[in-house]
Amino acid sequence: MKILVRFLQFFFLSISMVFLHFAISYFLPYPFNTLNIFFVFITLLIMYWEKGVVVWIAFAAHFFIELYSGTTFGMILIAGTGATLFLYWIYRYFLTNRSWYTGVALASLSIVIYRIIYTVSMVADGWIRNEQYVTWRTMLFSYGWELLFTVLVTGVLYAFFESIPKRFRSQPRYRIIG
Amino acid sequence: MNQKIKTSVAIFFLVAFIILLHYIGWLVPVESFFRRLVTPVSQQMYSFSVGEEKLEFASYEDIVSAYTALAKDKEALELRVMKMEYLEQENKELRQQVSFFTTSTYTHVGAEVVGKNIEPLGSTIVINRGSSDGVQKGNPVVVGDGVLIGKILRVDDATAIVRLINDNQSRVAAAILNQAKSIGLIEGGYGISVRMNFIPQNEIVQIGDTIITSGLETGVPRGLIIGSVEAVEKEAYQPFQRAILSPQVSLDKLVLVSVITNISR
Repeated sequence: MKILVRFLQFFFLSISMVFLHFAISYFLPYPFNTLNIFFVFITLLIMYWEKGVVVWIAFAAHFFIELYSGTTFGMILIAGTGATLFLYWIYRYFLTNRSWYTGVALASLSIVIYRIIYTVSMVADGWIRNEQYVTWRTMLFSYGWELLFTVLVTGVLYAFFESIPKRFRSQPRYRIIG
Repeated sequence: MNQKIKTSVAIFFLVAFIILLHYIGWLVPVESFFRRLVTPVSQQMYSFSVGEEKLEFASYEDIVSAYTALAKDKEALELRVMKMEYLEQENKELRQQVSFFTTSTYTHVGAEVVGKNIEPLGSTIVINRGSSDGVQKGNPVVVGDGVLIGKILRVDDATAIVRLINDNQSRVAAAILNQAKSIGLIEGGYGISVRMNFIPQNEIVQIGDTIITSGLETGVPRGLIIGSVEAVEKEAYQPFQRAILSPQVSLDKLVLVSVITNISR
C-alpha cells in the first residue's frame, strides 16, 4: 500500500509539472513563456525532500514532454534527467545549506547544466542528420530569458514557502492541563 | 563514490534503454497511453489560450480610419479577383490546348490543433491526426483555401507534430508570382516573419508580391499560398537577394487545419 501511495504521488507530481508547463507555454507571452517550471519544482523538491527520488520524477516528467516535442526523441530526456542528477549531487555535496541564495544558485546551475547537455545533443544530432539547427544568437537569447525567469520564480517561491512555517513558529504553543 | 557511480550508470542505462525502445517501436503503446491522458488537457488549455480574436478601438477616429483602410483593401481585392478570374480562364484554355488533365485532386484529412510547442527554440503545433489517418512525415499542412502553414515533422498513431513555416528548421521551396517567376527557399527562424532566400539578384521583386509553393519539393504541390512580400533586402555584389514576407495567416491562432496526404493528377 505504501509503495502504491508513493507511486501515485510520484506520478501525480510528474503529470502536474507537465500540465503546468503546458499552461505556461500556452498562456504566457514571449519571453515569459521561456520559464522552465520543471527546474523550479525540481530545485524546490531537492531542497525540501532531499531525496534521490526527485531524479525519477524529473525522468518521468521529461519523458512526457518528449511526446510533444519536435526535437529528436531522447534529447530532452537525457538533458533533463542528467541535469537533475548533477543538481542533486551538487546539493548533497557542495551547496548543502538551505537558504534562498542556495536555491537561486541551484536554479541557475540547473538551467546551465540542462542547456549545456541539450545543446551538445542538438549539435551532435544536427551533425548526424546533416541539418542546421538554431543560430547561436537565438539560442543564447532564449537561454538567457529562461535562466532569468526560472531563477526569479525559484527565489520568490522559496522565500514564500520559508515564510509560512516561520509565521506559525512565532506563535506560542499551549498545552491544556486538566 | 562507488554508490554515486552505480546510480549514474543505472540512470544512464535506463535512459538509453527507453530511447532504444522508442526507436524500435516497443514503446508505442506506453506513449499512446500517456498521450491519451495528456492530450485532452492540452487541447482544452490551447483552445482557451487561443480564444476569440477581438478587435479593439481606442477612439471613434480609429474606427473611421480602420473602416477607410478596409474599404480600400476591398477595392484592391475586387480588382485582384477579376484579374485572377481572367488568368484562370486563360490557364484553362491553355491546358485544354496541350491536353493536360485539368483536375488535380488532393487527398486531405482535417485535423484539430490540440497543442503547440513547449520548447522555446521551436515553432510547432500538435494535431489530433496520425498514421492511422494516413498522415505521413513531410505532408504539407494547410488552412482555409490552400494557405500553407507547415509540414508534418513527426507522426504517431493518433497525433502528429507540425513544423510551422516560421520554425528555425523550416525549409520550403517557393516561387513568387512576379514577372520573372522567381524561385527561392522559404526559411523560418526570424521571429514571426519568414524570409525567402536565394532569389536571383537580377529579378525584380516588389512589395505585395504573392509567394506560393513552387512544386519543386516532393509531396508539396505547386500553388499553395505562403504569404506576401513585406520588404526586399538587396546587397550590391551579392548573387542573391532576400525577401521578408508575412505569413498569410496568423500562426499563433490556428485551430483547424488540413493535411494533404496525397497529390494525384
